[in-house]
Amino acid sequence: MKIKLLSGLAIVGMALVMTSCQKYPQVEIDAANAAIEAAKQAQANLYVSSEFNALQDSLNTVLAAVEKEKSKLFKNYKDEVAKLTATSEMAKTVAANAVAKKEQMKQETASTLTELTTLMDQNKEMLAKAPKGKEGKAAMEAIQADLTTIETQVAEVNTKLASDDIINALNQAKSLKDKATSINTELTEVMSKTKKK
Amino acid sequence: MARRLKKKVKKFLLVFLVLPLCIIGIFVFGTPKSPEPELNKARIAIAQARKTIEKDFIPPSLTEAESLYDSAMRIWRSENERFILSRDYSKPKTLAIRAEQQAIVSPKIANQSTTDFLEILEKDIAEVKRDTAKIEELYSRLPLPTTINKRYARGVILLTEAVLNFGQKNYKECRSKLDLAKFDLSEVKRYTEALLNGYFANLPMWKRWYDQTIRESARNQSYAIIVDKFAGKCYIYLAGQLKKTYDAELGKNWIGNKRYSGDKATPEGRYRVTKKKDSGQTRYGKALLLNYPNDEDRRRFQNEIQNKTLPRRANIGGLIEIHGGGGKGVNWTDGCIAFADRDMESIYRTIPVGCPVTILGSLQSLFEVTNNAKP
Repeated sequence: MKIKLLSGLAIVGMALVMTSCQKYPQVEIDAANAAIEAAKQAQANLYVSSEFNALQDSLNTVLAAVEKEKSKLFKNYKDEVAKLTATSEMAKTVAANAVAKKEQMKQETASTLTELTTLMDQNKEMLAKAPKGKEGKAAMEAIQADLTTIETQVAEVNTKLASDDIINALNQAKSLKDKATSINTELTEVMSKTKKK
Repeated sequence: MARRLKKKVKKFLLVFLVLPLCIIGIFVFGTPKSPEPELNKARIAIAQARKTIEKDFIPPSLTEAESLYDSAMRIWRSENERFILSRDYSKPKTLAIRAEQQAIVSPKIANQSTTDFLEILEKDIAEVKRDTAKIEELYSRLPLPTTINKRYARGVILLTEAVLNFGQKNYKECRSKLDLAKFDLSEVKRYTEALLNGYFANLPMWKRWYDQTIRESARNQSYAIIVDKFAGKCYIYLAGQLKKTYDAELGKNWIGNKRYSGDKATPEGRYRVTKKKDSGQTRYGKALLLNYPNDEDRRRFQNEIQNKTLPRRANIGGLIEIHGGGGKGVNWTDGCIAFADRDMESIYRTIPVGCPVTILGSLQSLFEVTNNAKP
C-alpha cells in the first residue's frame, strides 16, 4: 500500500517536473512589441533609422531565443525575460532619440525660415527703394517674380511642417534661403549701379 | 522475508530510477532539434544585408528573405504549441535556409542596380547644373516674361533641393525633385533657345550691315558707330579702325526689332545722327537724335499693318536717340541707347551730325555667345 502510494506520488512528481517551468514570457513579449510600435509611431524608422534597425534586430534575436527555450523539454526563460525587458527599455530610448532628432530638425527649419524672412524683408526694402521710373522698374521686374515664387514656397514649407514632413520642409527651407541670398546679392549690386549718376 | 524485501527493492528501483530514466531518455532523444541555428544564420545575414544596402535600393530578394524568416518563425512558434514528440521543425528549417540564401545574394543584386541608378542620377544632376549655368549666364540679359522667370526660379530651388537630398542619400526623393527641376528648367531652356534661334537667324544680315558700315568709314575716313545689342556694347570706328568701346543700355524688350511706339524695343538697322542735343534740350544730359524710322522701318511697319499683325491705330514711333543718364547696368529705356553720362560726354564731343549708326543684333554667332557667354 505504502509503495503504491509512493509510486503514484513519484509519477505525479515527475510529470510536474517535466511540464512545469517558467511561464512563457508573453507579457514581456507584448510589452517589447508595444514599445517598438511606439518607437515607430515616433517615426524612429525615419529619424534614427540605424538605431531603429538595431532595435528590430535585437527583438528578433530575443524572440528566437524565447522559441529556442520553448523547444526544450526543460524550459527556463529567465535570461529571455531580462533581454525582453532590456529591449523594451531600448525601444523607449530610440523613441526618445527620434523625438529629439525631429525636434532639432524642426528648430533648424524654424531658424532657416527666420533667416529667410530677414532676407526677404531686406530684399523687399531694397525693391521699395529702387529708383522710380523705368530704369528701376526694368531692373526689378524679374526679381519681383523670384520673390513671389519664394513666398509661395514658404507657404509650402509651413504646410509640410504642419503635416510632420520635417525632412522635406527643412530641405525646401534651405533651398529657398539659398535663392533669397542670391537675390539679395543681385539686388545689392543693382541698387549700387542704379544709384550712380 | 528476505525474498519479499528483495522484491520490494526491485519494484522501488523500477519505479523511481529505471522508469523515469526511460521516460526522460525518450523525451531527450526523441525531441526534434530546434531550427534555432538556421534561423540565427538567416537573421544575421538579413541584418548584414540591411546595413550594407541603401534604404532606397532594397531588392525584392531581401524583402523575400525577411518574409521567409517571418514565416519560419511563425511555423516554429506554431510547432512549439504541439506535444514535444510530435513537433516537426523541417519546414521552418527549410524556410530559414532559403531566407539566408536570399539575404546573402541581396547586396550583390542591390549594388548593381544602385550603381546604375546613382550613375544616371549623378549624370543628370551634372547636366541640369550645366544647363542652369548656361541659362543663368544668358538669363540675366534676356527680356523674359514673368511666367518664364517664375519657372526658372522654381527650377533652381528644386535643383538645390535635389542636391541636398543626394547628399543625405535620399536618392528617390532626389530623383523626384530633379525631375521636377528638369521639367521647369527645360521649359525655360526651350523658350530661351527658341527666342535666341529666331533672333540669330538675322546674323547674316547683321554681318552685311557691319561690313558696309566699316567699308564706308574706311572709304570716307570718317566716324561710324556700331551698336551690338546682344553684347550691350557700342563701338566707335574712325576710318574703319576701332577706336573706342562703351557699355550700352537698351530698351527693356531689346531682343527683336522695333515694331511700334511703346514696345520698348531698340530698333535694328542703318541710321544716321540727324541732330545733336545739348543739356537743356534733353533730360538725359546730352543726346544724338537718329533718323528712326528709316525707309526700311516704314516698309516693315506698313506690311505689318496690311497683314494685320499690328492694329491700324498703331504708331511707328520715333525720337530714338543715343543719350546719357545710363550706367545703371540694366536695359531700361523705351528704345533708345543709353550711356553713362561720362561716356556720353565723350561720344557727344566726337560724333558729328550725319555719322552712320548701325544697330545690329550681334557681331557673334549664337554658338559663340552661348559658349563664351562673353561679348
